[in-house]
Amino acid sequence: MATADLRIADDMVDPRTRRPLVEGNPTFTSVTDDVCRIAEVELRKTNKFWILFFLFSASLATMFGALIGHLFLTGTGVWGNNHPVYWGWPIVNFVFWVGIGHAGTLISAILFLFRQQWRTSINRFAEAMTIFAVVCAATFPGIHVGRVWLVYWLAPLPSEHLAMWPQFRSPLLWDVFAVSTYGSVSLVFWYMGMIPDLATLRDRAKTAWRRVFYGVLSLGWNGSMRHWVRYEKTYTILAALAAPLVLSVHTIVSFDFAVSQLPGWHTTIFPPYFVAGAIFSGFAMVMTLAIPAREIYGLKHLITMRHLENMNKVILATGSMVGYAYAMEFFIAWYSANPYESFAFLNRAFGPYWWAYWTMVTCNVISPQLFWFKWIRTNIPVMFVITIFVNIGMWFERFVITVTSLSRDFLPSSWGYFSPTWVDVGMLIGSFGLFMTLFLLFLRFLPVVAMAEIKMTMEHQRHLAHAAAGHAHHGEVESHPGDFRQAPEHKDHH
Amino acid sequence: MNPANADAPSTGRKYWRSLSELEGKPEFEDYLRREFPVSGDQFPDNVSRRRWLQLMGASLTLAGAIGCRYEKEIIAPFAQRPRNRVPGKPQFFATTIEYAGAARPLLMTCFDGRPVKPEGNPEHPESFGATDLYSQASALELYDPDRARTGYEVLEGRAEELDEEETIRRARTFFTAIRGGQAGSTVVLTETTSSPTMARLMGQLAGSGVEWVQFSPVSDDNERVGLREAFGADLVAQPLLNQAKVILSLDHDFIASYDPATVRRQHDFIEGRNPDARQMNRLYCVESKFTMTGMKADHRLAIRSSLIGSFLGQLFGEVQRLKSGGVANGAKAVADEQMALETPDRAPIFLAAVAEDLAAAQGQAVVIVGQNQPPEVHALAARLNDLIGAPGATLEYRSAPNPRPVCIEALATLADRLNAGEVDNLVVIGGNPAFDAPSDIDFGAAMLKAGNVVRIGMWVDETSLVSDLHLPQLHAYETWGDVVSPYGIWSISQPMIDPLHFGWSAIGFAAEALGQQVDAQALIRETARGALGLAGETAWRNIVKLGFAPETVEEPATASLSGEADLSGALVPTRWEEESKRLTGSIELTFFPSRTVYDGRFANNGWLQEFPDPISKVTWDNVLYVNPETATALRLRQGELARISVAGSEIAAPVFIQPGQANGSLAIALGYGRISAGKIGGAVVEGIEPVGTDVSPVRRSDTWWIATDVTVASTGTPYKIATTQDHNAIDEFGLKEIRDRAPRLVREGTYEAYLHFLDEYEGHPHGVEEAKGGHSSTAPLDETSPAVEAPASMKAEAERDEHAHEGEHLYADEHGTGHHRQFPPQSGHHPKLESLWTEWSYEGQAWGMAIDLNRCTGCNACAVACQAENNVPIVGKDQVARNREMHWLRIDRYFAGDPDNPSALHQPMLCQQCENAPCESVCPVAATVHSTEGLNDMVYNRCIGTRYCGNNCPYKVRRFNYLWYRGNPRLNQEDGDLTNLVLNPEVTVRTRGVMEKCTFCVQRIQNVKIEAKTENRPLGPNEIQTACQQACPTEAIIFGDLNREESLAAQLHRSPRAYALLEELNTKPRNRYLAQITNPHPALYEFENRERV
Repeated sequence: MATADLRIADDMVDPRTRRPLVEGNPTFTSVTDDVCRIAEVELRKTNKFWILFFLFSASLATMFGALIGHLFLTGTGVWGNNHPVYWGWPIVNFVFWVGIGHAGTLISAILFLFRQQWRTSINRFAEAMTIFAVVCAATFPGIHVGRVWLVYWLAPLPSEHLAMWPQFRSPLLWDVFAVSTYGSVSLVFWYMGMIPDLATLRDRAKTAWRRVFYGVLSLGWNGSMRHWVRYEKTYTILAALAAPLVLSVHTIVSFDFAVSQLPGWHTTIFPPYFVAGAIFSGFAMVMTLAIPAREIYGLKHLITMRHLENMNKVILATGSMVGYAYAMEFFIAWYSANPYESFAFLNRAFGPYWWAYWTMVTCNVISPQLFWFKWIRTNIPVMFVITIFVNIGMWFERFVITVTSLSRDFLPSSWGYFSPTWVDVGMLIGSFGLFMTLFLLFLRFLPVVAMAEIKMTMEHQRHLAHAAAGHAHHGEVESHPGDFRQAPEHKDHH
Repeated sequence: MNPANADAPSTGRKYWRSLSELEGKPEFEDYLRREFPVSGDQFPDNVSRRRWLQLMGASLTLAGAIGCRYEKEIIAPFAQRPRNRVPGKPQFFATTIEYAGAARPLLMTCFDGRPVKPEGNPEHPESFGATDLYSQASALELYDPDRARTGYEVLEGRAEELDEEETIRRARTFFTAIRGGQAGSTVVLTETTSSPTMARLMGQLAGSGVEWVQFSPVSDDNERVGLREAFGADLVAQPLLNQAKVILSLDHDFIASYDPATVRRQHDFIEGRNPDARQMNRLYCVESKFTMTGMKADHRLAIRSSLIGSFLGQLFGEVQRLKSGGVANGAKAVADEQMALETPDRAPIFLAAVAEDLAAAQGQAVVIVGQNQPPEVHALAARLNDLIGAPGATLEYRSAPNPRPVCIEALATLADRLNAGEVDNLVVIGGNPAFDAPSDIDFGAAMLKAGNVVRIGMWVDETSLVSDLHLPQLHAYETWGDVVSPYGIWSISQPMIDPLHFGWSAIGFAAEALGQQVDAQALIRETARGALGLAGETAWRNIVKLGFAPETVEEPATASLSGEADLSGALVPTRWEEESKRLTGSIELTFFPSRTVYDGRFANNGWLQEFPDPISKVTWDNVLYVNPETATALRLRQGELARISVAGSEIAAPVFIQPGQANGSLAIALGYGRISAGKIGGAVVEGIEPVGTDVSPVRRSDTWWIATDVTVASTGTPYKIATTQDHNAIDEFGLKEIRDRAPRLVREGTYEAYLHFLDEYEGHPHGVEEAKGGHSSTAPLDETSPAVEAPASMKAEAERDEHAHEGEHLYADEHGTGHHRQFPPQSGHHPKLESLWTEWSYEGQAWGMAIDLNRCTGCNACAVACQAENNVPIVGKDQVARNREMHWLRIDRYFAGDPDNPSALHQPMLCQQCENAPCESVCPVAATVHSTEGLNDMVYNRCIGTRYCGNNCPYKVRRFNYLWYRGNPRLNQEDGDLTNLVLNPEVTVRTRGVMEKCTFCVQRIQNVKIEAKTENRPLGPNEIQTACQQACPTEAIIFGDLNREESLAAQLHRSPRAYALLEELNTKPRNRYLAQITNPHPALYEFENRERV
């Protein structure tokens, strides 16, 4: 089989076949072992890096909490927001995190519906990331309002104080619905998908608390056919529900800007441009997290170079869309002959925030273009750096849109300049702390790879391997991704 | 034994309380024996030691808790309501306050006995119901918690508080001693004042050997001396600007609040500037710094203040020559001559144009000179005025009230005598000479030499700290007083409130020192009876009601010139032309009273400290103004501290690059750098840094207003300047955009073009009424002929605009006015605008506003009036630097034209109450909603502060409470009880996290509506006045119901000059601006607008 492996790993392999989704010919048992091992390590033997990183992240998250306390006690004036720039970093961070949260559901729902099997090794990961990103995202608009103790007035509650419904014409209200729907559906989707794996952990549990913990979470899953049937159906339904949400959330977030009449915000290109940007940044974040995680936890055979390359291709595609949108904004500003809009865009590039604009362009437009080259697409350190660039660039994109447009609008007498305060910086860093803390807890205690799903692709792969080895009658199997037929154990190949 | 029956009468029915009583059990017997049956009066049985201690401890604690009470509060109900007093209903009293000799006639709004909002006195011919910036902020001064509340004994610069009894005892002892003369020689030093009562009492005190010296750091001394030189009499000149067709202002800023008659002068000036009535004066300004008058000028020439005399000398000769029939070297000829040159110079054309206009407008022109110009300039201006027939027509002379020696000289003499130990007692009332005396006099040090210095002042200030005894002074709102206004009207002050703290007024002191009764009212009545001959109760009652005595208006003085004009010294006619081009060389530094804190007396007034300077928009600072070229030549950079030295003394002040400042001329405001002003203005003892730079070290007797041969160098130290506009230096890219955008925002046209437009327009069906929309079209229409012929270029321009817009329909509103043509015509056409939402219909009232930019002088009174009316908080310098100032009404300022000779435009900016308000549709909690009358109401208690409305407002007039500004201990001080008294009870005080903005003074609208309803009458068309409108000296802001034909606002909305700001956004603002009309001199206009090569 060693020869077969070599051949599969070789780029010059028969083009009719695809590279396997799982490498190293693991068995079902070994997959279960590999994944469960991460969550099953005794507390005392927890990976040192994990502990260090967790302490670091948790202290940042604590700082985030403390800063929120400071904000509540003192007022929104602790940020750098001012009179033309009523929205500053908190909204930038909000849009940034919501964007990050797009990849998970896209990978799990849309790719699932399109039967993109390669999603299975990364979907759990990406979904978790989505949930945590949405947590970070939702924090910001919540604490952003001036009278935070009344933030519940945004919800359509039959409240004594308001004695009325919220104002449904306001995009901010649409935002509340969009983000909360997205957050809850993503959470259910993530959790649902995890139930079989949680049951595996429960069954393997050696200590009482683990049995209880995973037992409660796995909701009495027993792996019966009846369970599986319902699971599959529900999963498909949820995927169908979540898929349009991927598009709707950032569309609606973009309405916060597009519905206003501010030059630089008031553009119809925003919905598709925001969605593309969100997927772009979300994939970049998945990469940023997956690359070190697969190293540390030895998941290279599950999250393979093929996965990484596919993700890079998505980044390349969405990055190009974003670049196109930037160019189109300029074209429309010129073509519409609206002097305010023309100024708003030229001001982005050549005004006082030119540095932010060009940082954005460099990171978002130029750096993903490097993925046209296969050697870059498959070079782990380079792609890691590029994904970080994309993350930075996408944060700057939101900064440029939000702050630059606000800082110079119609009346030059009101023009201003925004400078962040230490609290702004602290909260941005703190939100990363919160995100990483949650993510590390997930890595440590929950199944990081969808074991049940990946085993299905292994079935599939079995046939590909046969095909590569000359089993011609299996050549068409690829067109039947739902094929769950029993395949011979891989040992047979030796 | 039945104890229940023991004391009971043995006969009759038996009464019992309970069965146990009936039974007569021993327990019950026991129970009855106890005095308090259910309490623990007996020593408890079976109580452990521990329990005992617990009980005792608890009892002790509870006993101690008797001391805990709610704060004692005296509530005095109106068991018998005073007559004419309805709780919560405001009362209005006429009064006058005097700032350094200048009367400010007011009508005070008092709520439940506390003065809250000053308005102008509508009856007074120097107010017309309007006010200035300082008067508006005076209420805050009254409630300043830093005011001295009692006496202080000052020992080596530290003030120790005395109690009230001790203060009064010491004061009485002292007053008796100076009256008897036992205490030796006494000098009383006050501010300059025009109070006849003060003069009368001080005259009486002179009898007991008490001398009176007056000193103010800002006064009309130069004018008095100059006019004495020219006329040989003590006179002051008062221009009648409404009569003038041509006005030449030489460094005279009559629009700034520091002008003693600013309201009257602005009002008069605008009265003569009504293009709709076809009456338009022409204002020339020659000045070194950019003044507010300079902003409004048709032509402005920036030259050093020290060269203005020379300019005037040449002008005088030129006018003389023209008058004597000399061949006119007309401005047109000079302009042609200059345009042929390679580097044409504007200055000679300017002079020729002024001379031409002055000479032509016999009896219709006036030359006014600022107080900073030396006496000889005033004297020569008087001669020039005489030459052009101004006296009696456009100018009147009045005998100076309370004639006095020149302030600086008087103070220098006093200082010499103090230093020589000749003064035993010095009484300093008001003013702050230790802070603002010329530095070479060093009056503070001299004061220490006096035997005994008694200071009567409202604050323990710099002067108090070099005194021996500080006595509290009453505020003008707490006592009686009188003052003669600049145009000669005897006006009185009356108390609005019982003194918040006890104290003395200047006349109260004088009366007590004389041993007279101290009822200040009687003193004022005495003056009325004696000097003014107004006897009788009716006359007095009328005076109290009106706030002034109309009978007392003096006839102007007649004055005749003595001698000949002497054109030597600073008046050498030709020196200015070359000199004015030099960037370096003899650098001059000019001083001017701060446009916000005056001479420093308002340093502790937060509203004024935070108020932006109208030109530079700098708050909380005085800065060194320098023009861009001079700054480059001197290597000064914006926002860096520069060291300025004058005759060996130096100060360091931050540089502010100001276009329009004269070459080689620096300017800095007085009144900053107070070290003992209070928690706002600086109190070094309490560790509060002074605000701004104290210019006293370089302000010497010989450099009192203008210092020449100044050296200045940058220290390179950066300094944070907080401005409310252009918060940060704007890059070239942004500046270009501002230049492109400003003409669309603040529209302007020339008078000639407008006349041309009107001529055309009057044939139009909508014609005449609309063209005459101006609300004070009182001027006769036959005075239409412009002073000079319009140049062909101006007419051509008007025609070109005319044709470009033939048949084009601009904004048509729903109020039935139909399409109308606009002036100046705007380029750019856009399709009909439609709304996404169902539009509002306005059945009843439709409130709207019109702001006539032609009338607006940019004096900023409206903005402070708004702050006072609407409880707008102040935020402090750091927050202003973060662009978080809260002013609901701001004056936007844009520079236009040639950078070497810029003109400045201004535009009051407030909520435009859009019909399609972008703010309303984006608020998720509906905190900003549309009223049926077209207002954008703010529901403060519903606002949660998402700030989306602020983002979506194209006018950026919304203000967000980023912090709890009222909780700022420095700005509001711990004694909130006192500062809260200034709050208008009719306007909600906003908390942190809430958006706020202008609501067209909805509280005033409601008040008038309720009043009309209770009186069962319809609302008058122009009955409601917003706070900004009421304060405006020039009636530039008009509020009213757009649904009513009779309302001025509706009429103005139909003016051809009316335009809506950013109307292309379809916000449908309820406010219209009326384009500014300028009246340029044709030759100068042509020169200024020539094609540059």
